[in-house]
Amino acid sequence: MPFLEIQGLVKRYGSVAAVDGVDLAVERGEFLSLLGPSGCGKSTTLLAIAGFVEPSAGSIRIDGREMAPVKPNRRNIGIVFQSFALFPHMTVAENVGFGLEMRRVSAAERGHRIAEALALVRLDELAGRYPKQLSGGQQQRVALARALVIRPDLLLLDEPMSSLDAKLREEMRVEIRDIQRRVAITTILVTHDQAEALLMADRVAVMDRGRIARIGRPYEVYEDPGSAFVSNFLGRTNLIAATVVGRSGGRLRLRVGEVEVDATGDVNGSTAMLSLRPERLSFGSDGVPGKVESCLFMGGQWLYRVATPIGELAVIRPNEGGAHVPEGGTVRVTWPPEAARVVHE
Amino acid sequence: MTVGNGRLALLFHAAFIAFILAPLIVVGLVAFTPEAYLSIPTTRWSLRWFVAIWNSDFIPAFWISLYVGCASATIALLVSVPAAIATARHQFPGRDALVAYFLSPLMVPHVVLGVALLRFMAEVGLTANIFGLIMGHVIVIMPFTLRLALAALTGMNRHCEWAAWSLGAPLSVVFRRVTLPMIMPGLAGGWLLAFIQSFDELTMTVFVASPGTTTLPVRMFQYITDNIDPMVASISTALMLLAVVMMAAMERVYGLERLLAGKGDN
Amino acid sequence: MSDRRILAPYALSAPATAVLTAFMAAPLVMVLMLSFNSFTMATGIRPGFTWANYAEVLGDSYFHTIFGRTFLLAAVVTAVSVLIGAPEAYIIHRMRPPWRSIFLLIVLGPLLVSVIVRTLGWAVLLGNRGMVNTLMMRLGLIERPAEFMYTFTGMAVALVHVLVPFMVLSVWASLRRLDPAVEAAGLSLGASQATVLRRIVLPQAMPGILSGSLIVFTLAASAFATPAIVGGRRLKVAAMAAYDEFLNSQNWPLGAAIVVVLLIAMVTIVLGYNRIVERRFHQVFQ
Repeated sequence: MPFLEIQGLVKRYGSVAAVDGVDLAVERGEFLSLLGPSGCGKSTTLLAIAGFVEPSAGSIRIDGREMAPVKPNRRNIGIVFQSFALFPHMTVAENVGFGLEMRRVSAAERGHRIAEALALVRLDELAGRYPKQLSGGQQQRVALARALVIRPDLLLLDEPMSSLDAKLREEMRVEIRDIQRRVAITTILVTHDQAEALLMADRVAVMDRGRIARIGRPYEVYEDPGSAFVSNFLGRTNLIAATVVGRSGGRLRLRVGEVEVDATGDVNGSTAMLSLRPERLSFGSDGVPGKVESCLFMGGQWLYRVATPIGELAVIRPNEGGAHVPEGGTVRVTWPPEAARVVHE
Repeated sequence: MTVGNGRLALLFHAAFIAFILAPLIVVGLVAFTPEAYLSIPTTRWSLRWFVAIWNSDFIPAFWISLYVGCASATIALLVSVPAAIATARHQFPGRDALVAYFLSPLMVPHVVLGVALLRFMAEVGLTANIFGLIMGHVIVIMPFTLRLALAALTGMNRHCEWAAWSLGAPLSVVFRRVTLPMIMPGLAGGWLLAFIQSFDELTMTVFVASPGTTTLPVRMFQYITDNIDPMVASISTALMLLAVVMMAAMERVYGLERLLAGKGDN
Repeated sequence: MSDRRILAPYALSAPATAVLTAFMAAPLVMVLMLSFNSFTMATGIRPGFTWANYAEVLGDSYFHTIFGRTFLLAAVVTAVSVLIGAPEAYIIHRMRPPWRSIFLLIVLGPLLVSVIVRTLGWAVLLGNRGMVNTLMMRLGLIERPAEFMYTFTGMAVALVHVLVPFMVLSVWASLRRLDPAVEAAGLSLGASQATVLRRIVLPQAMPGILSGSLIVFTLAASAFATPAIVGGRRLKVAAMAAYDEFLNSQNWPLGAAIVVVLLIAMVTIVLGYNRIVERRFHQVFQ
């Protein structure tokens, strides 16, 4: 039985459904990321799990227990908000100790566990400071320590890194991931940043318009996005409308203009959407002929725009120190068979 | 960036500031003259009128004002905070109408409120009762305490309340340990502004003034309509000094213009 | 649990609602009822229903003069406040940081001092042997003391002093949202200083001028202390008239009719003004 189980979750505000039928199962100790653009319902789902938002329909179970009658203060959930939501009138130690105080943990035990939690986030020195005396990264760690010190059943992270600058954000991603592994706590991260979701989570659930569009391991979801929305939201892709001309053994034969290509996946009907990831494309001696329209240097790689009979294609090639194809050059664009994926719209 | 003013603008500005300060400075000067009548301009100065205040009936009036101000500001705050929580934290039918009702005393001239209070106190047998006066002041100042409580509540990070709730605190504890300390500066500012409003209120109070409810502004009004002498100027000067001290305190803590943004008293 | 959640906001609002209803709404209804009672010197207030008090307030030229004077005074005070308060707000807005707060404090500070104190200053200044007269006589501008106390001019000057801070505050608050770069951009695009003022600054200041005017007008029309001290018995305004009926003549029903008329006039003006302003200046407020 999954540790966290959500069935048919719906939250309506007036006639608008922010969450429109979410089913989700999270295993004990798993790190799941809810990914999606703003307004897709990911935050509402998180707030419903924490108990701040009352669902219009559906059920949420933690460890088999129905959460509907349980108030937020009885759910034993740790939560970190984007704003960190530290109590400005309490010191770092008082912030971290608040949850323990509410659980009537003795003062001695409390001091011990506060020290332990602060050590976990490497803030032992700053216990006596007030939040506004801390940097953004330090505040973030206090918020994390405050959520973890109560030994919650579930850790919820609501865009916890969005208010940090880029460099710090990258450090904190790795650090939070490490801490989560060490304390082995079931964690749900809400983010709109696909790199963050792919890097940190065991599984990624991509949400769109109140529903989960695709869920799976980061690599699987990236490679087999299933829909045009997911393939575009996770990384970038070339999407090409095509006509189905034949089927054989799980592969489709598609026609785009005059060109015919094979692709993995299946679709009902006679039209399909073909997805080609730019980094899976390369230049070779055969393949689709094209002319390089532009060529941009991005440090680690080159980004080409190539005009071909099947449409304009973005092609990303690693910078290996050698010569690049100049603008105006003629090339043939090729890809391994499994890189061509059929997605639905 | 064009910052700074032309010569003509500065001349206008000087005249405006002179207009604002002149009556206040004149009162201050008169307060230090020794004669029993207005003798400005003069070269003789004295503190005798400040000394005379102590034996005058302005002192009991001052205590009444202080008492009414403290009591009404406290009551107004106590009823405003729950109302502010209701309107800031809940969506419910009739919410806008309720807010309009809470702010409606702003629309009623004080002279009307004074007449209403006089009639009310006569009808329910509270004539010359200080409780009635205090409740009258509560009506006048409640829109201000409510506005500042609302501003404090909407200005605070709501996630702090949620974080505390989810850390195991029941809602009553969340309010006591997190919400209240976080809105406290705003509430203190609201209390102070309400106190000043009550302390300076004249138009309404003058209708119900009796020996037991004669506040300082009312006593001064009665005195001035009889005759103007340096004694009343020295009291005014003391009040101005008090205002300067409070202004300095408020400016330091909140920024004055934010507090005054809603003030409307005549 | 759901029921309690739905009722919670009403329970929280109950104390404030009760206080307002008991000590404002109910007393106002009592005043309204009182205004329909009759009164004679011999019998005092007599219950019953009569329009006589309203007939007197609305029909007698004595009250016409008082209400006319009240609203003329409010209009003059409002106009002068706009003319001097709005430019002053703009000048303060353009000042460099330390001066800006200092002068804002000087202009707004008097709001914290009782209106009595401020009016007392004018009584001293404007009296027959007051400083203005003394100064003008010494300078040889006039030979005999000019009349300021107990004149309309004196009342207007003192009331402008009492109320103009509200205008400055209101205009200054709306100017605060004006980005100085917008003015600079206007000038750099070749607009003259006058054009920038008219096309950029004035529209930005308009919401402040409009709301400031409403505040000043309503407070001026219902002012009591300043007209009472500077205008005296000779130049009664509506608030003074009500005061006299209640505390001197003891004709409460007539006094009640006066304040009911005043209240209705004020509420009508406020609501009507808001409606016109919203329609006319709709775009300014966006």
